[in-house]
Amino acid sequence: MKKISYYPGCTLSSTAYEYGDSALTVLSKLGFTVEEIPDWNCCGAASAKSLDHRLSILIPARNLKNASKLEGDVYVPCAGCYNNLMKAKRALENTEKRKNVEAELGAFSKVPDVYPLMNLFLDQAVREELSKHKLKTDIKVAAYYGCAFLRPDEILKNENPELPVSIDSIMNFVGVETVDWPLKSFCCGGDLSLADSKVVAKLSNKIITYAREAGADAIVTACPLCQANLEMRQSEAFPIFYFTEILGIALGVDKEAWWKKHLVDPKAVVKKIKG
Amino acid sequence: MQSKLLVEVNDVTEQQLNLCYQCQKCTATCPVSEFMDIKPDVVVRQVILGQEEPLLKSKTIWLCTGCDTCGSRCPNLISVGKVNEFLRERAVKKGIKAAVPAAYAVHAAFLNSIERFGIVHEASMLAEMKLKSKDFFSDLALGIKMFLKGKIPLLPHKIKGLDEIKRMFKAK
Repeated sequence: MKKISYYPGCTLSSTAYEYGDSALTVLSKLGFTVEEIPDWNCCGAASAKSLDHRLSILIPARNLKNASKLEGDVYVPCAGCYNNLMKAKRALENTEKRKNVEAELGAFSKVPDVYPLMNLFLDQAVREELSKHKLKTDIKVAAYYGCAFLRPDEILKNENPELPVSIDSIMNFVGVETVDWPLKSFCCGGDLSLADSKVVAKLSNKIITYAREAGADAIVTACPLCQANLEMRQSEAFPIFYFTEILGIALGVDKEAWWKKHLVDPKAVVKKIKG
Repeated sequence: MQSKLLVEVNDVTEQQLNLCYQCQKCTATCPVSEFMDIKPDVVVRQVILGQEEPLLKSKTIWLCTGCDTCGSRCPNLISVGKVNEFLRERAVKKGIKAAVPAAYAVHAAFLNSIERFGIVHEASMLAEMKLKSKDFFSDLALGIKMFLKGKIPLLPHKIKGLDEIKRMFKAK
């Protein structure tokens, strides 16, 4: 498998520890060579763009500059980080804006390509490898994408924001059935979690209700903020997984330490997935 | 004759708000519009009319999550989320107190964390946010649970190129 550049982002060593560890474990098992971007900084999250547009481009642009020293394309596990890095990339593709960025950060030798981590698993060779590890389970999951991997569509040019399919496909590769449901890209309330938790509670509970009523036993996501919001703000005990954790189970490399990090105990569902 | 505000917003957000024909799809599709004091379609209308002050004092600009559902569904490719970002920055620059103080406190504490460490250190960021918003008790039990799960590391880590970050902040 190929060599990739990796931008973990801040949450993967704190609130989303289990995402970071499961992602690296699965990538290593599949034979990827993963190079972390040297001395990366925070992407600016939702805060730079809320208070200072200039910083919201410069802060993530520094990461692209550091990534340009590596040879691989940049893969990003976190939705918010992916979104911010893409906005910086699009700014660097514009001659005028690039001049402004380079005036502050110095010249860029190249601007690397940036992809969501999911896209790596859609590759034909990876798909064939994953298909050799099909789980035999009746468990159904609802693939939940949130916003930041999908919108703004004209900047990200990733998958269809109305009907995304990447996480569904990846789950299907390893034999896990996904349900049809209408809230795949409905917002969970994002960073309002800290400022106004009742908004996030309402949105998160709506998402979980729809997933459960569609026949899902759990939600599978790729966004650390969505995962945290759905776990923290729900009023039931509905498990929320990262897609890499399910892949870890399929590849036989899952760790007890991941399940211990969850605020909603996922072990009953894990047991059923393992059959 | 276009209002000064409309010209500025169109220029910075790179879209044409004047194309809006008030179909109100943005408001219908917005996941948080029910909590907003000025609905997304009215935000667009008020920008067109140059009515800046009520917008800068609104809860709306601080409640918008930037999910961009409005932008992806607008028949005229207008993202109200981008407009709200512009208005938030404008409100802060004009020293107008945020109508949702906790939202401003979160963003300010977050940016301070980036300036100090280069990455976000959740423990000190959360403490600063609590001090700024003077709300010490909401989510305390949840915070303790997260800490006990090892999800909020105590010790901050600094990036090596921190002076490059500090330079970005200083130049503003």
